[in-house]
Amino acid sequence: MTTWHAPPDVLARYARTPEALDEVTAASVEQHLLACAECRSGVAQAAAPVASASWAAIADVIDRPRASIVERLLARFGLPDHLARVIGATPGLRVAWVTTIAVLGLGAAAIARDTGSSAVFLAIAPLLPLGSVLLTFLPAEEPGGEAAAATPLHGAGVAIRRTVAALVPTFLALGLASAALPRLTEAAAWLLPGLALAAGVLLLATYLRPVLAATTLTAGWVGLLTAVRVVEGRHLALADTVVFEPTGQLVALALAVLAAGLVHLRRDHFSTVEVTW
Amino acid sequence: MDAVRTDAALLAALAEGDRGALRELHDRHAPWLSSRLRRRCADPDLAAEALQDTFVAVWKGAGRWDGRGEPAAWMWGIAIRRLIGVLRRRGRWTPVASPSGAAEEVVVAAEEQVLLSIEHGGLAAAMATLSPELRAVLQATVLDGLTTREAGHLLGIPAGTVKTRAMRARAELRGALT
Amino acid sequence: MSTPTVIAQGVSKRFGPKVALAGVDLHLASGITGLLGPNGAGKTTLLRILATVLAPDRGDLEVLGHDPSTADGRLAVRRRLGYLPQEPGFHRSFSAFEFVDYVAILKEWSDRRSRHDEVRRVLSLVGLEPVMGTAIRKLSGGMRRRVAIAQSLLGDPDLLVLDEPTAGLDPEQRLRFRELLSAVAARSTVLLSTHQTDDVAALCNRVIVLLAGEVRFAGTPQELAALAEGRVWIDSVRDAAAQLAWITGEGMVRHIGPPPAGAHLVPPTVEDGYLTLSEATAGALV
Repeated sequence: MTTWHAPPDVLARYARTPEALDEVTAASVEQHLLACAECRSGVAQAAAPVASASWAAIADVIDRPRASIVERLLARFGLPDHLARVIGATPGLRVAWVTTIAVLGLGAAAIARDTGSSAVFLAIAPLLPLGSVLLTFLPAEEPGGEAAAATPLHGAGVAIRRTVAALVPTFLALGLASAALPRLTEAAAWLLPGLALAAGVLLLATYLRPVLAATTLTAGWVGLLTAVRVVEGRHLALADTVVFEPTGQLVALALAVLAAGLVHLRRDHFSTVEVTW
Repeated sequence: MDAVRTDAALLAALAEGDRGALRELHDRHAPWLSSRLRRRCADPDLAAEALQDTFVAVWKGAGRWDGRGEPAAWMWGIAIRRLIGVLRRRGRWTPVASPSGAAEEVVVAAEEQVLLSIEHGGLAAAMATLSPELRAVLQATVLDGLTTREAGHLLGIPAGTVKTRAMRARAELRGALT
Repeated sequence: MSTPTVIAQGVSKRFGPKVALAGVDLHLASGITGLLGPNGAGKTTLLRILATVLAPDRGDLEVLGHDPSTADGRLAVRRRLGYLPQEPGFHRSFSAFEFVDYVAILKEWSDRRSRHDEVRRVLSLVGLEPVMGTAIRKLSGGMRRRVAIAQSLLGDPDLLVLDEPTAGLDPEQRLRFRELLSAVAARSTVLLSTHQTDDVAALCNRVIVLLAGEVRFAGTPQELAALAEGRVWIDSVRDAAAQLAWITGEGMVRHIGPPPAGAHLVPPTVEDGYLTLSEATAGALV
């Protein structure tokens, strides 16, 4: 039995104006095409322009990168898709980091319930926003690698948006943890110092390498708490020391605002980077 | 470049994420699938959408080809069901393109005409005696292998009507062929 | 020389006690310039400075007509720049497409459709279309390098700064890269650092040799080779009088240095010229 193939002009007709073929011929051709690669390629050759247009549409769907949950949330909040992608890649937004903060915060709050003293919580909590900001600036965490430093968007715009994005879940997690503190009057005492430290490390990052900036401020904070302890005596609860009393809170607020203002003045420095991390 | 791969090899490769394999498969099959879809749906844009959905579906689930039968037939199965999906989403029951016998006949050379009639003998004459609605139902249920429900979605008629028309079509065909 | 794209004068940089660049002067114009030098010569530091990723301690710099010491200048340069770092530092879970797409966003491609078309374009240029969707950590070293090359080509930059682009590429890929670069360089300025003197010989119309943080040579590859003119000979045994000698692939010994009488002199290659220069700088007897 000879191998039957569809006549070339039938194939061409089928390729270009399939609706115009009569039903029986079309049915015959269609059944044949299911089994014959040679005739299928005959159709393909006659229909060339269709193929590339259809491929472009398919590529557009299959190439699209999958958006992370964070990205989708940011887009829901009104951020344009491309910015949502960049901001969503902020390391401070990663579930692992936010969980760490929540665990640390709850742990410290648990200690407070046990011992009746919120000292551990108040000492640690303000440092965690600083940690989130540090993560945002670590060059090793930049998803685009070193090449990202040579792009137009590398600068204050993205840096500050990322910092703010990283701070939101940080403050939320700590806020929730602080609700577990025994005395609710102390529950918000960490907030302004935390803000001041975060703004401070952001400002210092325009002068020093990120890790150095973070270490300096952390040492400064520890030093401050130690000094206050020594001066005001061990019998006083940390929450009642000048750092967390209204005076201290006002100073923290003023420092935060000052740091933010200086950050704005020094924003050009965010587009440079020292790659020797 | 490398040797030409079979359809089966391409399906295996694209299940592993080989985008080039999908491209190759597309270039081979999109043209005939496109034509076949256009013969099931009057709106070429909907047919194009179904075609694209088909290849996206192949990309995402090529591992589901069981290795039996022709890949081409498997792909048509996906394509026709994607078309049904598109039609349902759009809520438009576009009538199936079924040219009546009065549509322009394909002009074929004499010996090819002979070959064609050997292929399907008296079927041509028998089919011509059926009404367009009955032919459409036959095409959907017999040629495309759709269930009565799927055929109903495609043709925009209730499944019950599909059943009755299919029975009538078969009876009339049997009568015309014997 | 046509209008220079990059003018550097007295560019210096130190990291603590280590001096990386000690007053570099250079001019770059359109075409491909090769940057040769041993490890630690300061090539990467120089490239980073030209790519606006690092600021010099001292010196004047003009890139594409702008001053990168100002934020506006940096922005203007980056809009026309493509940079391939020595260590790209890929995000762990990105696919090739996702990585290049991410960099494209940072390059201000805000419209998704045109951005994705551009990403596909550059990935096709480096021959990675079939593996676009594959995670980078699953790709071979050569393929990863090509992903990094692709991102540098986004937007057809006027200045392309490439740090060891052919590292890890096999000979066939290097050949394809040369073809790609020749096509690109027709309308832009390319500066590439490399250890491969044959890349320089095949590709570059100018070469700069950087040794110990200073420019020791700037000229054509032929001029660099000519530095060793009359000082390269081949013998079947090693001659102790040579400054440098090594066994070639054919089993002969190639020597560089003052040739003894009757030596079988051979035409110098770019590599010979480069070795002569680095030996001279290292203080060996000439």
